[in-house]
Amino acid sequence: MQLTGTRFGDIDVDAERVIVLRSGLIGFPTETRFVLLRPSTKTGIAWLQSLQTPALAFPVVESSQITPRYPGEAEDALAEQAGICREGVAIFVVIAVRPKSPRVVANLLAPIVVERASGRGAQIVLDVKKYSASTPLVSATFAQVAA
Amino acid sequence: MLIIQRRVGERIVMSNGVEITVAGVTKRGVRLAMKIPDGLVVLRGEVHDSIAAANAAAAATPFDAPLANESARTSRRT
Repeated sequence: MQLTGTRFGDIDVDAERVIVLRSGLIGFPTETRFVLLRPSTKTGIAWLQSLQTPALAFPVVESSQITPRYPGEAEDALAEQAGICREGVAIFVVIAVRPKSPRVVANLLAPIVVERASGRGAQIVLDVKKYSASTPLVSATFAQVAA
Repeated sequence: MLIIQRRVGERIVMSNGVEITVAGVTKRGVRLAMKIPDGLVVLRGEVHDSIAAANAAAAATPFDAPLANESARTSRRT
């Protein structure tokens, strides 16, 4: 299928690679269908592109790019919270780039957990005492996105 | 907005299966006990709002460096 009018231009979407987030993204409850666009730049930023609203896309990074220690919770527990199978789980962190310092912040509180095989997943909420929805990132790699 | 007065131990029931019971009232606040069907998510309002704001800020991130696919990259990289 074709998606026209995205920030990335017109894109071809492979139906088998559609990501379905059960309850949408938090604050965007009707946005449930996405595709992951992976530009091959050094930044490592991927974009979760809405299939329902072409102008809407969320920059994400894989959790392992943040720090190997994140998230501290067991993958099994995260998968269960997302209502998906425990095998082959991908964990994405939503990031934002802002005009003011800290320029790059990551939402470590609410990662997106996806079953790689089926593309089903959810944005789950971790322990509020341990994580923030806008944690500053200092990595020079991530800073490139705003350059 | 719907307003219902409930005493401790009384509950409200929603059509989607959610049940909320007033478990206790103290000087510090009201304690609610909830029965939530699978698949529904319950968040404290301020937690929901902080995550929704972070998601909205992410969506407003300028799209500069990363590009979508091969054709877009070729045409845009000058």
